[in-house]
Amino acid sequence: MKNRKVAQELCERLDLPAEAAGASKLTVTGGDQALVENHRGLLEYGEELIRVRLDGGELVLRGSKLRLTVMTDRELLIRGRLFAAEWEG
Amino acid sequence: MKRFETALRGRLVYEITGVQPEALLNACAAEGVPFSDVLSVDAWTLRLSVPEHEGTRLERLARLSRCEAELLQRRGGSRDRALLRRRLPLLLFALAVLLGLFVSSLYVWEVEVNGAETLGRGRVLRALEDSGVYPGVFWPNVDVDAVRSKMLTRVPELAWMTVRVHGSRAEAVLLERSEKPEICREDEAADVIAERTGIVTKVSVLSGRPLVRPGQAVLRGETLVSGTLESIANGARQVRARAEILADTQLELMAVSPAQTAKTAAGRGARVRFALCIGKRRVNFYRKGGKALDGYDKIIREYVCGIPGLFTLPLRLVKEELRPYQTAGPAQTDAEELRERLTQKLETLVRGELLSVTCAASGEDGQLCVTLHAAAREDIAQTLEAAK
Repeated sequence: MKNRKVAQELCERLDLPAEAAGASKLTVTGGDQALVENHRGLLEYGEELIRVRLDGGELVLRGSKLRLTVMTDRELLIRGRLFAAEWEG
Repeated sequence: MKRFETALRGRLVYEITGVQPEALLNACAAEGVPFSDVLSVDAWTLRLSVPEHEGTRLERLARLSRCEAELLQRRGGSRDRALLRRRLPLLLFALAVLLGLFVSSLYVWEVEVNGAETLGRGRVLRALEDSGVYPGVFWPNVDVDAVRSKMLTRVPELAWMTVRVHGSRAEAVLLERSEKPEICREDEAADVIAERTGIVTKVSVLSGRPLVRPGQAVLRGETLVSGTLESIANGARQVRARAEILADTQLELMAVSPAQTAKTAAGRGARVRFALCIGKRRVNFYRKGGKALDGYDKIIREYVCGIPGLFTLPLRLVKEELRPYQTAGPAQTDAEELRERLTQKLETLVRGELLSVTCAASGEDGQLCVTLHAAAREDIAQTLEAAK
């Protein structure tokens, strides 16, 4: 945790994007595609709700016909009709 | 593309059951096991598919994630390959058929003639065969320009022709030469002579010197109007004589046909026989093919193997129907038919009006003779060029 804070501080001073230091990032495209970068794994998976663990929190995506299209150790691509995205600290 | 990849590499569909099946997804992502088609069945069950070769790794990861992995389905890959191995002869046969179709499409198996209006189809086909276009020819070797040159030499009535190849069907497109119109030179000396024997009823001379008067009888070939004009100042002068000479003429046309007519007897005695033509070889499914068939009508039908307009195979089934016929006596319709034909011929001969037509029919020595006698009033003027 201390290392991450140091890295974030460094990124801030060097004007680098926060995700370079491992911060999570959510990109929603057109309301039917969500890309989660720097995740820490899935907590719950369903057609109407997907919970993703993040660094120091979790992301809850609500929608209908949600599907996990691609999953790697760093990225998650979710497709389906997105209604809400909740960030829980 | 995905379907093709599935068929080629194969995929396994697993059902994962556990307290937290998402843990397996996380493990797969961490280990780099590619998975797809993730479907949540309920809170404890997921379905997903992995490439065939990743099945063992997935099962190991499932055990580590305290989940149960049950193989539901195998798609493509080794399963399909095993099926194909079992059906290898069938596959080889299909390949052989495809190869045969490809090779066959390089040969011409049917020659079609278009545009032969006055030329006989048989004559054109014979000339095409002599020029190198015939059933069984390897069409990539056919030089259309050479074929055209040969055809134009062999058939002088042709103005132009080409050969188009559609699969195994060669289409010869012909354009026949139109006859040159007769060219008359107005300054050339000519006489008007009688085309037929008759009695002149009216003389209308446009140029030249008339030699006949109305009421005068003239013979065929007799000069009616002379192209030589006498002039006091310059002597004789040649002109092109033109005139309309009406005359009463008599025409007699005769037609002879055998008094016995052949009539096909339907029903009993008819035979059907078959033959198969493979390329240029013919296999007869009957014996005594060389026997003379007197007293039989032979009706030949050919059935070509292929899809019209698409391709033709070198296979033709030939059906020969042999129908016996017998001769019957002269029928009234035969004399009527001859009379009809003679009347049609008469109408083309007469350049005027028909005054009267009489017809007589007689049967002698097994022959039916029909005579048509006509009186007409017509223009008998015919221009005859003066000999140079």
